[in-house]
Amino acid sequence: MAPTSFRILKTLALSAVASLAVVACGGGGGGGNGNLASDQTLNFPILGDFGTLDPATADAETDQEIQQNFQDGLVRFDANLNIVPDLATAVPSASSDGLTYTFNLRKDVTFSNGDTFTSKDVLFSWNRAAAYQGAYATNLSAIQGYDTVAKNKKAGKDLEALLEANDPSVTMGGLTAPDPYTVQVKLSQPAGWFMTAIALSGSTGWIVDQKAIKNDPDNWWSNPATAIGTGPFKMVSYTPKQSVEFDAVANWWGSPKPTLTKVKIDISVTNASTAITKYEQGGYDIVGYGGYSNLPVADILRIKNTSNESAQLLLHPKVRSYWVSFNMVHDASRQAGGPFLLSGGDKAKNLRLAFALAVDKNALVQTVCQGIVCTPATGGLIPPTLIGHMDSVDPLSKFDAAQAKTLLQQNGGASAVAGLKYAYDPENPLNVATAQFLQAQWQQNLGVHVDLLPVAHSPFIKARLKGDYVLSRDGWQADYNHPQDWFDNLWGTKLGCPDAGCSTGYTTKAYDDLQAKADAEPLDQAKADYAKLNQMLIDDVVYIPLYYSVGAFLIKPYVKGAGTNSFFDNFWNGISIQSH
Amino acid sequence: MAATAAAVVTRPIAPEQASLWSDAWRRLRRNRLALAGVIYLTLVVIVALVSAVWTPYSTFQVGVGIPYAAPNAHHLLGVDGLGRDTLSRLMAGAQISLIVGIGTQILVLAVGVPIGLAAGYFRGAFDQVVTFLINLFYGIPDLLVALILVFLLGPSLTNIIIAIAVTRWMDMARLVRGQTLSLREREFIEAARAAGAKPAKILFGHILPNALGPIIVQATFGVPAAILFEAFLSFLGLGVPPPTPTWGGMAAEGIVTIRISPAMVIAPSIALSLTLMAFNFLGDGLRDALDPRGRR
Repeated sequence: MAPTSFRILKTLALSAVASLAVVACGGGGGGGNGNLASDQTLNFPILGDFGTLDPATADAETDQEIQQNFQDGLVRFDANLNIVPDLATAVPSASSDGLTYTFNLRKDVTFSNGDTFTSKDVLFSWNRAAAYQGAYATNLSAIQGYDTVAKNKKAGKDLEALLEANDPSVTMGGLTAPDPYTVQVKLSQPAGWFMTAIALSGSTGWIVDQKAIKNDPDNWWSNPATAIGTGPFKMVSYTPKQSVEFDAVANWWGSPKPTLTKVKIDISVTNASTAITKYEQGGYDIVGYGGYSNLPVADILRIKNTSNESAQLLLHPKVRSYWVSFNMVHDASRQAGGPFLLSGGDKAKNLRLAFALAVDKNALVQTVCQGIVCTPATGGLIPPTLIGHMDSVDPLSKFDAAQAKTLLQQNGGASAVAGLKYAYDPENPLNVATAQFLQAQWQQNLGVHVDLLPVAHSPFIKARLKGDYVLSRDGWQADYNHPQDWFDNLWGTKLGCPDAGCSTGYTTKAYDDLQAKADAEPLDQAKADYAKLNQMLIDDVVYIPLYYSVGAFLIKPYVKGAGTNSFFDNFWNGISIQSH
Repeated sequence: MAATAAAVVTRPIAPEQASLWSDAWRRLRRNRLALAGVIYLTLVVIVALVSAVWTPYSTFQVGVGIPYAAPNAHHLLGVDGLGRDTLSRLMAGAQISLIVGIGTQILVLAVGVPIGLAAGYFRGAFDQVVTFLINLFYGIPDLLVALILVFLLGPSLTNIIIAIAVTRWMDMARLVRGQTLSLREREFIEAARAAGAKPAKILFGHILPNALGPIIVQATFGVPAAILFEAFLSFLGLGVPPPTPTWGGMAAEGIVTIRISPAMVIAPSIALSLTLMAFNFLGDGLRDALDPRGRR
């Protein structure tokens, strides 16, 4: 037996190691079984209702943050963003020609209603998602036959009937099931990004239960009786814009088994400061979960200065970038026009550069974000930690008021850029502050007055993608760690530029050709080509980089295992409530 | 007795000799609250005029101070979230408040007075239409009307003045119509009519001057109402667009940071409240001063 003093020292040392491990795991470590509270209910708010929990149509971060806890894909990202098996037994490698993937499925998986999961569910889910043509349908676009299904866009009961009949109009030829536990995927061309795309949580690669969906194909996800998934939690109640509750699935097939017995999500509070106040009064265990980690900088400043709550604040870089987009094409579909068009040649390019160099990005971050909730976007639009982030400094991130002024004077002066408006969506307070900062910088450093045009988020996004704004706030949150997620979804003809779904309208033949080449290559090979695409955007001054965002969370000390990585919240089945 | 009678006859009878306006001014000066209102509003006007050419710091420039800094020797009212000097913006905000308040009342007078005069004097179908319109506008929530107009016209200073005036013209029109209905039956109007005066001469030469007292009082009360309305629109984010500072907009920005930088919301709120109070005191004073029944 060790002497008492040694035992105490040993205990202290182990405690210290455990504490360090907890901190290292970002806000709580694993859901260890230490001193568990009798009530394992987790409470947190989301500041807006989810739009849908249907993988075929989900496109919001909040949707996906919830879906990842009650649905699964064949593969998924783990906490370290590695692709790991989920419903598949292993992550398959591509065939030698890069065209075929064979997934072997787990045989012990059941949906929360007891239905057995088989390869038929995969075919149903993926064909259905391709036919729905939701925002992330293109994640499946590499599969043979996708183009045919995409052209036959269907929804609702019509689609369910066609899927039931295996109608070729809604069935991708490259997707087959040799047996109940094997799925073979044939691609129309090599796509190094395919596996990362289908791993995206809550998206088109994820699996739904045909039996649960068929009676209410549009709204099955909002009814606890039909909101069925294979994940560790199941929906037990949902009142739109009020609350949603999930219970742990008894005898769930996966691991780790959930410690929480219930998750209550409050949807009634829509103001972040109000939610923080309620958290401080004990009403919530976490704030920032569910895609709402953009907490107000004023509240974060206040909390950082408190002795007891500052330790509950978790700041973590997120894979979200913000920049300013120029309208670069004027045609019958894109009405904004303006002085920054690609057709304007060097003069327009120099004007774009003048506007970029006139913004002091470091001052922006220090002023708008207080140096806390964002960092300057100095390495291109792809944030640090992601593949494709620039090793060197993005020249568009530099601040040079003198050169900006010279460029403006050499290319028509202030009259060439008169009457400009900067459009933004004011729901996010950072967007408001950023807009006012940009307006002041352009006025101060260029002598150009730019009016501000606040537009509600939803119509703003639609108008921006139609090319209605000359200058607009832009941004992107990575879906997965692959440059294709950025270069295919923001610019180029493949996306639909200049006339469909494209903020800038930017597309050139050189961009399209290189993009197609990069997309077809394995990732290691493709990196160099994506870097060249990045350089094209810089050379053509397609954007003004602003900042990468930092997520902010408040987590009570008794909540273990809660936290985040740069993409998503820690899964609920790794969280526990300690006695407090 | 004769001497007493002579003394009575020769005593000056000042109140009867004073004009309505000089008498009103005399009584307004005796009203301490109204006088305080006048002094405060004079100060606001001076600040607004000075701010057009000078403020301690640029009202638009960001980063002149540490964001959210508390009041200090360099920034007497602190610094806002973008590092702008609150005192400078408060001074410039006075311009907007006065422009909105007075501009709205000019529009209200321009629309409400002629309509009220014509409706009250001519009566008949025109009066019925005007009365219907007044009742109709009273039936529609003014905030809704203003929001729709700002949404349709776009948020700008001019459009906000128009939007507020559209929700306020009825008060003036109804008041002037009532005054005109009363005055048109008076003997001096009958006399003017009998002398062959044309309606325009009667309306603007005889009726309007006699209705001027209540009109001024109504307009004075209308100014703070318009300022408050603009502040409310700004608070909702539908006011004068940034970077132009307005007291309502500053309060809206400050309310979300009240726990770390209370000066951001307190300063514009106090300025707004004092201005509203000053106009209301002045309006009360004018009403008392211009009320013939109150003459002593």
